[in-house]
Amino acid sequence: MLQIDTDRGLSGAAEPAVALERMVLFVVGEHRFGVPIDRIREIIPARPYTPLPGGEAFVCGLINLRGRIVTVVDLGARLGLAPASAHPDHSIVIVEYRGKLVGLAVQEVARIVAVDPDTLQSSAETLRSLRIDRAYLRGVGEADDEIFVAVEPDEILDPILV
Amino acid sequence: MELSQYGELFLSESREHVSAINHLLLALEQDAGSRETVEGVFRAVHTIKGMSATMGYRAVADLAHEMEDLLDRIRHGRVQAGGEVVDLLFAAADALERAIEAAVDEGDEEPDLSKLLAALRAAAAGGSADASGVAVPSGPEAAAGASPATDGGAGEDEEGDEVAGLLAVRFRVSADSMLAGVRAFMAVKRAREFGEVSELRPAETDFQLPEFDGAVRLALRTDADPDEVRAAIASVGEIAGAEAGPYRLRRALPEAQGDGGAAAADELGTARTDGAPSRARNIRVDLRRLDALMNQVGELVIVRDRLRQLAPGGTPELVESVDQAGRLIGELQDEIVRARMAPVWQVFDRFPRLVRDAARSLGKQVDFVIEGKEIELDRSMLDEIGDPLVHLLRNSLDHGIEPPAERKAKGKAETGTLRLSASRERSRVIIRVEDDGRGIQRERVLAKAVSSGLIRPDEAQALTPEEVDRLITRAGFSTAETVTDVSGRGVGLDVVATRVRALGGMLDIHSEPGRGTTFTLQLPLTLAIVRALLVRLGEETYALPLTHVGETTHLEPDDVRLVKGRTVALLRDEVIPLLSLRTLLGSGGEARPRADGRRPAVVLEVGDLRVGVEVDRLMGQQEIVVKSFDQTAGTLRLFSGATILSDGRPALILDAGSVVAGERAAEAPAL
Repeated sequence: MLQIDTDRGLSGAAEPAVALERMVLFVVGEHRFGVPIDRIREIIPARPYTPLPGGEAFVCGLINLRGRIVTVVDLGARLGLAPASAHPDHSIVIVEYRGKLVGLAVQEVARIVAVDPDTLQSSAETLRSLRIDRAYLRGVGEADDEIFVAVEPDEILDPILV
Repeated sequence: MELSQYGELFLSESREHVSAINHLLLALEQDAGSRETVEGVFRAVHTIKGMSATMGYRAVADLAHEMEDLLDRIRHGRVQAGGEVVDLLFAAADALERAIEAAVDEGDEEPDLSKLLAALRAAAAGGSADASGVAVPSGPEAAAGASPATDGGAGEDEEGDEVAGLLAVRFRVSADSMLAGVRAFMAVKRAREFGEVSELRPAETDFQLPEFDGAVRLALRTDADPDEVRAAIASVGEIAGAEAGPYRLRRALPEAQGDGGAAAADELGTARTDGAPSRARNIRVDLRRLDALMNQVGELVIVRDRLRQLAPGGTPELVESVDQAGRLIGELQDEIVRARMAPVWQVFDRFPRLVRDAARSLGKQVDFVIEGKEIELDRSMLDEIGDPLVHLLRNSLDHGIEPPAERKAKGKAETGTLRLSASRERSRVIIRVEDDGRGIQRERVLAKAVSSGLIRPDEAQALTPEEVDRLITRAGFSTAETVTDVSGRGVGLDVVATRVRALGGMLDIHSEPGRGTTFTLQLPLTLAIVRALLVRLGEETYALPLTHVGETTHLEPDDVRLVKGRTVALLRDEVIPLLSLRTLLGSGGEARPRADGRRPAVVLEVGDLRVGVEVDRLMGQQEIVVKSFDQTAGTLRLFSGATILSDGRPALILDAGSVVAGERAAEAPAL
């Protein structure tokens, strides 16, 4: 189903010489989303949120991260999927965003994969089936027969945070 | 990494020197003949040259070198420091500042300074008796100037800039005095009769020690004649020698002169009463480190409050220990708050230049007076007030102070006075911007407010003069008929008012037609820790800084009325608007009225406006640590920050100004 449209495609992924990008995969509903590991500061279990009055539906609220106040956004709800924070034992991924720390609520943390960034597919066909704004997505990847969508944290957070 | 660390140090020191240069140039403009002022500029430029050469910042060093050349000629009387030359030096100082920033910020391109360098060279050559060869600064003079180590002999370094109103006093008690300590005490007491004594060496408590050798030094803030001071001290008796003379600031010594520097630091060198840099007895601490300390102490304060709540159940020993720990934490907090304090001159010092330039471009004559430079504010607050003050100063120059001809026609002095003053009142700092200009022109303000739809014509009739004055701080208001680059368009006083409120302060306006306008900023000493009232709404707790809490009350059902479609509360003999926090925030779930029907409310006071805000429960006061948080686009603009409660959960801090802002807009004059 996945087309390989670059020369470096699959063969590149097989060779260790290629710079592989490590990504953490998260489960949201039936999808898997990948975020580059170097953007992730830590992953913490769910904790009570202090709501932000007037905040958008996908904004969970504020949490206390060892004395720092961090705003948490529900990754699922933000992408128009089922809210991840509805699960009582969801996780919060703390990502670095323009010098700040922001939380992304995800249903579950799956695992870490190493992918060749050049193999990420931006095939319209695959992405269209997701019904998610294309700007948020870097492409579709595959690791160990598992398909995931690499997301662009900056694009997801830019329109939200002021 | 190492170098960039020095880069920051270089940056902050150079900024101080540039600020000093600007100051001295302003003085030079007033008194072109002042050799001492020229010397001061020369030394500051020279120091920058030395430092930048060490750091390898070529562009900065080259520019400083050319400036130094010109200044050298001025101080030797070969070039006159006329208007054009001073303007050129101002331009060079600006370029120097930019070059410094560009050099440290490695990503920046080096500015092209060739034109300015040529102009400086031409100016230096212009007044030169031997114009030949001056254009290329390679003569023996220039060469000497280029190496900081061989230049600036000790004799020249001794003399720093005089500080007005400050005397350096020395005396020695006769070696044969039986009561040297007592004599010294008496002499210091005499000095105190003239004014404030500081930098007393040795300390008064050390006068009685066997090591006391009878020599005493001090700085005396007084306008008295030095001779008078000297005579008064000598009159104590058994004083072998007494001297009093102008207090001079010591120039910063290059790092290399280790011993000399230490010795100098021991001299009367600790004063930082002026813009000139001094490194004696001060260390530079990264502000982030102070912030981190402040945060930690903030956490400790929270833990202390928690301990205090828990302690009463424990043994007397525990209660006592908690008490003691609590006190110590309080003292630690005070100490750190103090360590973060910096004098306002660090911000004020850049204003004289700015006022000069703005007044010039507006064709106005202004005498700019600064008072209370030494008043201290929290460093982070200091960083925040700069822009609002610039707005206020520009506003006064643009709208307040009249052009010379108009002033003359009104029988006023052609030169207006713009006064910027800082003072301390209990736990607040008051900063005033005061002009003797035309005052707020209320008819024009009203006309403008009506035409721009801020108020309705019928409302305009009923406003008091003070209410009219306050209109100028409303968003989108600007009366400048022509848009000038000085006060800009529409951006201004409303931004100032908002910023000041965000800092937990207040902005008051007092204006007398024809006599002038005074803007008063009241600021808390520190931003980081405030006392707040905690209130509950549904499941959530909100904090309200006490600065704007007038009182708390439980309203009886009868006290709440509907007047002209608006809810009001009867508070003793006063009628105030009553808002509901639930409605304001659109959260908190369903209201559950109390069984007794009483309604807890907080009375907020912002300026002279009092507004009641109904909440679910009043939770009492607590010290909170103010932290910032990242707002999302949709978040209501009602919060000035967030804090962490003793149970570890974040709570939002309500900004009283924003909460009542809607009320102010809707304020019915008839009420």
